[in-house]
Amino acid sequence: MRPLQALWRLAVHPVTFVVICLLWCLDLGLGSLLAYQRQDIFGTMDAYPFALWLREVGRRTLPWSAWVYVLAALTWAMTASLAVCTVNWFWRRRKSLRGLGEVLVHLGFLLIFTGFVVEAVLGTRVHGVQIVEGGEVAIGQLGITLRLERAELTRSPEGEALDTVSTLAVVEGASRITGTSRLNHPLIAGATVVYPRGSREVATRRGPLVIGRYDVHRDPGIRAVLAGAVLLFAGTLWAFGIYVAGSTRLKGSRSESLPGASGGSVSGIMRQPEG
Amino acid sequence: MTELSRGLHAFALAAYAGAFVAALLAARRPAWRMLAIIAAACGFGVQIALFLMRWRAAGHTPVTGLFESQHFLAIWVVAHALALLARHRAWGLFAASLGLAAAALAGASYGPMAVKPLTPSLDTPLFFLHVAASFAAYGLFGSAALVALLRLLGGVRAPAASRAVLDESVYLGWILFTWAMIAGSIWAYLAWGSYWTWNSKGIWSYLLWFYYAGVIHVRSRPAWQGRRLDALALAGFAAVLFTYLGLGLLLKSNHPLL
Repeated sequence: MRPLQALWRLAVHPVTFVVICLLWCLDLGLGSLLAYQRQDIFGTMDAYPFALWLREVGRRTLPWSAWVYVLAALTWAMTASLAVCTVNWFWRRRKSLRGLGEVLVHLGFLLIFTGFVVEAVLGTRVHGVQIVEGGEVAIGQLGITLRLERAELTRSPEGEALDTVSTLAVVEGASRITGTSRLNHPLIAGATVVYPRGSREVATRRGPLVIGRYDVHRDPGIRAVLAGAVLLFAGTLWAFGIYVAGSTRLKGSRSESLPGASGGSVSGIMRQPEG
Repeated sequence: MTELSRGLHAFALAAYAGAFVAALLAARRPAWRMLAIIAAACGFGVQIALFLMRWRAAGHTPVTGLFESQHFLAIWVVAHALALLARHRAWGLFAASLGLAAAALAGASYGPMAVKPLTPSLDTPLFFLHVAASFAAYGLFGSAALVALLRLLGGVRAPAASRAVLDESVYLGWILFTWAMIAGSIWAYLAWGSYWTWNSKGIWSYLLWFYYAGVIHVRSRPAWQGRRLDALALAGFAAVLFTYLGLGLLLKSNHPLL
């Protein structure tokens, strides 16, 4: 029983997380410099869901891509460490709300990681879909048809094209979702999102016609990621509130001094994370 | 607006440089303290005025490019130093922060000062949230690094109190940086199709977030106190500078500064 207890203590110890975290940072930092140098290998990482990139590109570019595999392994280890820490928190059934921010942050991260893994494995990214105004294109990988109903170019006072507002319809079986897509405001149809990637105008006998270009992504994990982001925000907001309340309580009784000054000392005003 | 910016910038830089010297002299003669505070407050006031004027002229938050972003960083560094001075009488940190702010403004002199129209992709409220929270966090990480440096150089006579400031700076910095990352990730999802991107800036921002997450887990562990924590705070701020300036100036990035 003792080895198991020792293993559990090691797993929930914050330093375990920190050591994995520092190794993760080291691997990612060095890897990013390599990625910058070898754009021919790593320049496509944003184009594919992560698991697909590992399968199609990462595997055949070893050993250059080894850092990405190490990163993936360390991320799993870091997540496992966070998960056991969170289980430990609930297991100990803390009654105090002081640690709530901490546990919300942990749960938020776990949800984001889950969403990332779901997208990495089940997500789809289709790039450069071109549609003529009034036309439609079937996207077999996603089982949808994308129709461009209208496209309006917005221009600066000098006549420079700034953006295109596209009115699109996403047709999937009997379902049809219509909406607009423009810069920073893609068309969101459930897990399917249509991003504008520029447009061009061509002259026809009936006047100018716009050809829109789009990327279409499907991210089945996005709801988990958004829920995780909400928890992460709530947790940090809670922690911030606890900090402010703690500082206010100290305000009347402090007589501390800091670098370069003389005086007493201040007690800890912030709670420490625990495993 | 460019000439006005140049004049106000020069004034703020001179005020911070003067306040820095006065704060250093105040270590031996407390009579210099008031002058240091007045000079710093003048510089800070001018910076706020410049920020608001450029905001009005541009029609958007002026935090793009080297000039504006260095000013924004200096605003947060000095604001935090003034707050800590009021709360904790942190004179050593105050002097060091003014030195950092003056260095930031000296660096800003190399950036273009003309007000530029906003790139369409930056035209979103998430831009303001992302940038404001990022620079507030950078300023706090800078304060933490300065405290760590002062501790390593032996300029600290109250280790417990300096540890509290280092704690506060790292902790609040990480909270603000989390908000910056949430805003930035939502923005990246809406604009580019993914909340996680593999470009250098994205990678280094996540790296910073995880790094400081690690630091706040060990900041009060007895074995990690003292020089080890100071070294972590200094290394963290070196990573901040690389993420903000190194990537923006030396490498091709989607967050260019020039």
